[in-house]
Amino acid sequence: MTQFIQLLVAGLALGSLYAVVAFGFVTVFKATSVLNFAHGTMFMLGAYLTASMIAERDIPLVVTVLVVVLISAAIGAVIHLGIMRGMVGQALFTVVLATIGIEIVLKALIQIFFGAEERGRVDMLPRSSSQVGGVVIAHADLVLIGCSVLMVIGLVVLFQRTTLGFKMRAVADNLEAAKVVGINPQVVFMASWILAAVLAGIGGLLFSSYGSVVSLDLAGIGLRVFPAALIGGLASFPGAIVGGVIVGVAEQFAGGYLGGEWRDVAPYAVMFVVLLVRPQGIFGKKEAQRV
Amino acid sequence: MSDVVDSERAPTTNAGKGGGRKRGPATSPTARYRRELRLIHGWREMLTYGVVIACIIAVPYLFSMPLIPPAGLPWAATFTAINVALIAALAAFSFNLLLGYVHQISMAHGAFLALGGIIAAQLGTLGGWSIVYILPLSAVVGAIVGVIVGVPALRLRGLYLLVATLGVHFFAVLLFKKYQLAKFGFGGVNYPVASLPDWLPGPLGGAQIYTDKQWYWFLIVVVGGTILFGKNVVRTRYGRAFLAVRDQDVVAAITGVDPARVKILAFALSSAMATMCGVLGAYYYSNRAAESFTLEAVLFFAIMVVVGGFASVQGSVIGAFFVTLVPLYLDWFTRRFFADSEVISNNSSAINALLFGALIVLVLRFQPKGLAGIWLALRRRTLERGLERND
Repeated sequence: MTQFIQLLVAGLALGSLYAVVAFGFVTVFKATSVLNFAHGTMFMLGAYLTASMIAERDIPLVVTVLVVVLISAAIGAVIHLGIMRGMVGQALFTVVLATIGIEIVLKALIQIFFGAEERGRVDMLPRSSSQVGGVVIAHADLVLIGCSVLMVIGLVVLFQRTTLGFKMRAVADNLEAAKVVGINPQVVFMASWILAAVLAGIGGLLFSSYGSVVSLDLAGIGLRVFPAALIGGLASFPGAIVGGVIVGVAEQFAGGYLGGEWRDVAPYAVMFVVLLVRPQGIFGKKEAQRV
Repeated sequence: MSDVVDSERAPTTNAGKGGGRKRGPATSPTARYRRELRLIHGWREMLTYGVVIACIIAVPYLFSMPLIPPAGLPWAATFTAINVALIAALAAFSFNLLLGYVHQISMAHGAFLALGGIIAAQLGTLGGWSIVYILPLSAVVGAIVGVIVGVPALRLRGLYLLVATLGVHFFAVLLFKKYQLAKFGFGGVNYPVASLPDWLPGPLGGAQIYTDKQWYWFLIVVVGGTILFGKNVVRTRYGRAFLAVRDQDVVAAITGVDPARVKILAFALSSAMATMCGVLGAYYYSNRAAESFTLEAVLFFAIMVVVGGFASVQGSVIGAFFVTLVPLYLDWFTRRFFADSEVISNNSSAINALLFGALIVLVLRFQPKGLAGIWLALRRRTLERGLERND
């Protein structure tokens, strides 16, 4: 039983991190219908930046966060302005492949600037833990959950209370109607890409102190947002959060009860089950096809 | 009838279009249809085929000549790369069947390559079968597994299908790992040298295939034959059914094409070819481990298809050669002209990846129909008369 609860807490921590990253992913998808394959690499970039700044150069946390946010935002903006803006109306898979090309470029850039060796985990989170009735709960997990909750609250505020958030929701709901009302979709698209990149980068920043190594594998871990987003329903914000948490929990349970090699497969297994029962995801809407 | 199946985004294909241009008031639908079914449309196509056949025959002789290539071009390495490209062309074509012709976005390709690897290991390494027997059997097994994967895929569309098949990929890699560890160990699965069966006449009987030249001819026969078969399928009503389902599967159902059957057929064909490709790759590289089946390899096939051009046989082949040969020449380029820069030589593989990715993004951004689209645009501009379909 204690193992169950410990895995659950660890899963919630990892899952909340995934939830934030998945949220960014769904933001881009809802606004631009693009499956961003480069999301995992932006996640990895955040981790590498953090590792290189905090672990190797002892730059204070606040500055690191700022730098990660700025660089991620810049990358998101460049992706939109340079590439995505010119590909409006292309076949879906073509755009997806363009993001794969971007992923290759980003990965290569990270390799060039940071070198290909692995780095150890960054020491940002507290190492202490407390015992609650025989269950060991790491404080690091609690900090992660706390950070993610704060970010989700911030995102909710952004989307519900600000004009920009309002515009983004409008474009996501009905692009044509939003244009008619006078909302400039390009601004919204750029904001979506920037937000997604920043969320992925921050996710990487947090993950660099959670996972055991910072290496090029992180791009694959960043790919876990795909099943997370799908479980929740690809075009649903609460779905992204729920999906992220489910994936994190599933991953930890699989790792704990079945062994480390099942961690890659677990999110997809859960996704299969969910999609078999509800092909549109938990919160997704059934799409009617127009003939 | 021809216009219903027309799609603006695909390059011109064999199937579904009756000529495409008005040839004049005297052409009846029957005459147009008969012309469409002809194997070779006009002397231009015959010329193209002739050139292609000449190139195919010339290649091994070209590369075995003791030429010293100008500027240190990677001549010898190109021959090996051509063999790899041939294997990749088969994989790209099978991927194109699903993606370009039927628009089922499946990332499960790597899973079938792994399946091919397991079959080759079980029958070839452990069972001693000749590769000539393993290939057709792997196609059959691949088709069956493809149907099994394809049936649940019917419930999913587009991006959901993509991610679900991504899951299939990870499962398959795990399966391969379990198989590998159970029967072979951490060093990966070793494959014997490919050999032809003994009953073949003359020097072919029991011959082993291990030099570049031998592999080249073997691959030309196997890959060429399979692609020609696939091309023929695309020419027939099944090919047209593929395109119908791709464009509007509800409408296709109304006109009598069963989308479920067509999609499953496409899955079966594509998986059969991909499994064969897995067998070929296993024998060619003689060692495969679970780590060999990376997600990147699958993504590379997707790149081949899109860069080469959707729904186009020559597009898949062109794309495969492009993706295989370009990194080789990029590497030569950076080594040759930037050898004195330390930064560049230390990071050469990353820089190649960087240039390659940038190239892909550029091609997709500016010519989304891919290289086949560029080729078609060129042709359209140089031919004065109406374009004969050429596939």
